[in-house]
Amino acid sequence: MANEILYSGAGDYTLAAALAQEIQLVLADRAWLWQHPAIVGVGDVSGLGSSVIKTPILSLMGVNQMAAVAEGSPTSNTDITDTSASITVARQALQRQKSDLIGIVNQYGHLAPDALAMDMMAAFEARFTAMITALLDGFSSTVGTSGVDMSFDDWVDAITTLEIAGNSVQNALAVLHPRQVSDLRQSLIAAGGPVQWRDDVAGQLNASNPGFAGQLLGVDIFRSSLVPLDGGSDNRVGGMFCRGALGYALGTPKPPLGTADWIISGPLMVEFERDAAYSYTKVVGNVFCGVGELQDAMGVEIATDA
Amino acid sequence: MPVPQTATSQTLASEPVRPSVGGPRSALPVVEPFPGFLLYAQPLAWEVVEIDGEAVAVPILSRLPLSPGVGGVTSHGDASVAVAQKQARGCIVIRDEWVTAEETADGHPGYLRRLTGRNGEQHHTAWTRPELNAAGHVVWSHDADGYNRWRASLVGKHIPAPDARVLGDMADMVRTRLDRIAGRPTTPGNEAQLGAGKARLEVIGRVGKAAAKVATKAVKAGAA
Repeated sequence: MANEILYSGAGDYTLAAALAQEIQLVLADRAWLWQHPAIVGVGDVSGLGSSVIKTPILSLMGVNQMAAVAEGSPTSNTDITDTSASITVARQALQRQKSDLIGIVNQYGHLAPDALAMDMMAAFEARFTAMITALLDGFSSTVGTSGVDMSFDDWVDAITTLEIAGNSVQNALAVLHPRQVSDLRQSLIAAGGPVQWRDDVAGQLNASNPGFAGQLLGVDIFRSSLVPLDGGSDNRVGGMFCRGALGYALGTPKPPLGTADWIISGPLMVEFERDAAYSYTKVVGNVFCGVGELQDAMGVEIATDA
Repeated sequence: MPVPQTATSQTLASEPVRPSVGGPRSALPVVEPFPGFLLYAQPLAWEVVEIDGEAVAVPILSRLPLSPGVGGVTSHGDASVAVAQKQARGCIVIRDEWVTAEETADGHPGYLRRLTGRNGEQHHTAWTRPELNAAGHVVWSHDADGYNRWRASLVGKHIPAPDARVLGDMADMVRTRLDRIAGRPTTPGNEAQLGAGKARLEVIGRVGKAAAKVATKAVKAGAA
């Protein structure tokens, strides 16, 4: 037989590859801590005259007790103890630049202005999460043993540490690396006694998604791949903290001058800049944000093997 | 008679060039970006390690990321306020000069190293080394002994030795954990944890005894 019509010989009217109808997103952790209630928003520097917000921390509402005063004796003053924590706002940005040609031929719409603006918002939320996780190393209280997997005992030690410091631990938040979460799960599988009968323990044995990974002994777990390595060892440095331990400040942008194409959504400003000579359009997202530790005793670092 | 040169008959010089067929989009490894940082010691953050069979208390060093917007670092990368905030809490910021070339695995002074990856730069300490495995992924090896020795060398020279109460609190936490594990059913896993906890308690105790000896010597020397 001869002159069959074969795919291998039809190079002039077939393609080496055709694009699928929809794109797939690369594997990445897309759960973020932006606007989580455990992180205190201390304010906005817009119009304040400084890029630093100082948060006063005062000894009120029961910190000082009344003292017994004998009949006929005067009482004396008790000063309010004050301290403060400062958060510095700085620019966080992402830039993309696309050519007109790619815009013309693109079939997925992911280079459209609104899609790129969404990408910028997601980029900010990821950056915010990375900024928060970078602070977890700063708590002076530490639980966990270097080089040893996270266990249920480390979890209890963390809660104990916070409770001894006087914190209200219900609705505290633990930010852990997936490695720490899975080591914790392994430890729970082997748990005995009253622990094994708890519903929250049974819930932790299920597979979890990035982000909110359930609750254990009243503390929320947030699973994030952005929890960093120690930098000096093989440990992942997560943390458990109550509301008031960490805070953030923003700088709300004003509409920019000199460009007609911009989007402001909350703290995010996206601007489009045209370079006609190169046939480029630049998309720049800016957020002015800072994070910092407010009260050290309200958090504990959890450093366990990576 | 020779043909006169016209305006177009000029000799032009061209240079040799090799045709390029492109290449891999990026040969850089994939690493988790982390900014440059300062190491600092906190007064209550200590751990006990063994160096040459001897139990030693070493400071747990934290990182102050030099990232604008994080922990007081300004837009221009000025970390002076961030450092001042830490020092106000009693933290001791580790200076780069406190690490000599002999104390690091790669023979360079200073504790900060940088690896450039596809998603940015990852900064790490001199005792953590990146390697590429067979699959092309970055894996990290850690010179724990070198890191512990260097940290131990800081105690007494740049960082005061820990308060006896710090060791006491450390031992208390281990004892509480042992009590908790002892109440669980006897399984190989729980037995192993009990054994590890007891070993850790023993190591902490050895540090306490050594520290008490040093303190007694100092008191006697002061009295004399």
